[in-house]
Amino acid sequence: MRFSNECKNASGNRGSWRTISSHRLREVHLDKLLEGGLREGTVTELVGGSSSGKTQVCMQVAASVAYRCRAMVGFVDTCHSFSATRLSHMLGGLVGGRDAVQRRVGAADEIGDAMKSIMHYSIFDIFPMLSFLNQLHTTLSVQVQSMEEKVMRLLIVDCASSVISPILGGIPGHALMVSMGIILKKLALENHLAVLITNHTVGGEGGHPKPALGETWKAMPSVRLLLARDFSSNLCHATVMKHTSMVRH
Amino acid sequence: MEVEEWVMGHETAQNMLRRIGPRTTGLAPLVPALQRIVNLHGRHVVEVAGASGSAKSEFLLQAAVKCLLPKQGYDGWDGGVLWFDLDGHFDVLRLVRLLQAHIHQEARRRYEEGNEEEDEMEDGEQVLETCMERFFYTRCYSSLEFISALKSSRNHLLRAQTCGKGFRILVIDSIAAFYWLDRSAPFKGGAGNPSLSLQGAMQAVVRELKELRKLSQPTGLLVMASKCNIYSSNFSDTNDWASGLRKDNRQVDSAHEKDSRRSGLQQREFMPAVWQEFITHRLLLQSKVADGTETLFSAEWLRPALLNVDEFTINDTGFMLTNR
Repeated sequence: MRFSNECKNASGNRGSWRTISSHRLREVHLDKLLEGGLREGTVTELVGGSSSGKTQVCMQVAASVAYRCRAMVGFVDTCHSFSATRLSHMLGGLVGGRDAVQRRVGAADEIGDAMKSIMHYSIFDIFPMLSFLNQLHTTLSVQVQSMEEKVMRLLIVDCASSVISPILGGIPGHALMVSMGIILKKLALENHLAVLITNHTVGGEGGHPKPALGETWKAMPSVRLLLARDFSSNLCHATVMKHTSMVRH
Repeated sequence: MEVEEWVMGHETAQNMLRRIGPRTTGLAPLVPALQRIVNLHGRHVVEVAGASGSAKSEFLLQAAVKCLLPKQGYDGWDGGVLWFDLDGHFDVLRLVRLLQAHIHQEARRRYEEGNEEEDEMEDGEQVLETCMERFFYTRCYSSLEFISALKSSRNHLLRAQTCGKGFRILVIDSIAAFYWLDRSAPFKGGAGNPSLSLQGAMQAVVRELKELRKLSQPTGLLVMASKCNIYSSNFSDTNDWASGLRKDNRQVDSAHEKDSRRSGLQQREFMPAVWQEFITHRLLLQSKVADGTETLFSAEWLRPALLNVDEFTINDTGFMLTNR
């Protein structure tokens, strides 16, 4: 809880932060890049070209939060790229020990628990997506938090752009995109979720790839990370926007 | 005699300046790096425009911090701040960090001058608490919520004024947050038919802001709004036949097209005429590609049209100019 003492000072104002926790990810360099991890109340966008590892990062984040923070994770899959076997391998790696003999007693249970707390939703169109997000907001708002039950802390929307790009164009399309952005931010701020969305890139001026979905969507997330794969290694850059500080490479 | 009275006038210029001077000329600039010539006070409306990631919210935050700080020692405005967050990017920790940076800087300055050091820590905490108590934050998710929040802050304003510490600044982070939502609402013309279209929503917002400003006499209420660019610079929208917006834009376009052409890039003005007429100052911010480790930003005042472009970087104590 890095920011808790500052929060005590900030309790005099009418903002609605009770605790701000950062979800620590497994990769240390990603944590350092994000200055502590994924913050609740912010929308983080992962931008990258095809097969640059966005879905892998999303699944790793889901596994890490489900296992370490003992929280529920919502995974909205719009492009059929979620794989449960791959997720269980990642969890196995987190729990420790590749070999079945090396794993300690109860590890399989832990993996099973973590898998159970990751909820997977397949949504392929903008209108079911909007109604799902609204329903999630209502459900989480009226939920009474008890000590044993896990609370949802992270929402991942893999490939937000694949539901938005088909309808984008003209005024009604932009309005639907903006309303999806607003409901994602409402979920983040009022239900204390960290929201992680992915986006693909399109060609920009000068040949540099830029995030898809245009200028209006550019203003929506609070943090944006650009992923670029370099054949053998996976390079991670933080670009464009972070409203607490500017980070470059 | 009547003629004599008419010639003598009601008051001399000196008396008038003495009456309204403290309210307008005795105020320190909010963001000193960018306000070397432009002075802002309670009767102004500032619009900060720029692409995404060009430090607009940062500018508003710096101005708010300067307004919260007390006059003595910090050169602040010693007033309250009403912050309307329409796009959810406000970070309370950043606000606290900025306030703490200013307080530490002042404490260090006092220490170097050799004044008392024992009460520094509690003094700093006290200042931080009073500042945070004067900061009021509202988050809105639609134009309707925003208008109703503006209406309900009238009582708040009056109550704060009777307590002594009135509000000096009203900040709207991203006035264009609901632009597309309002544009997609059906437009019903006519004066007696209030609609939630873009025109109707903006008219209601401007009406509420004028009302709030009237209620905060005599110090006035400085309105600062940030506006994110909806269109990228080479975008051509051929789709807006609806709602007569295009006609309105074309009529008022002459003054603002001149503004944008001077800045060298085509910033397409998309806000309705009622908002464009309401603002008195425009500042254009841009972020430049950095070659080192820091990002450079550039600022240009479009209204009043100053010809020089300032370049600056950001740190915790404020904007630092780099082109001097």
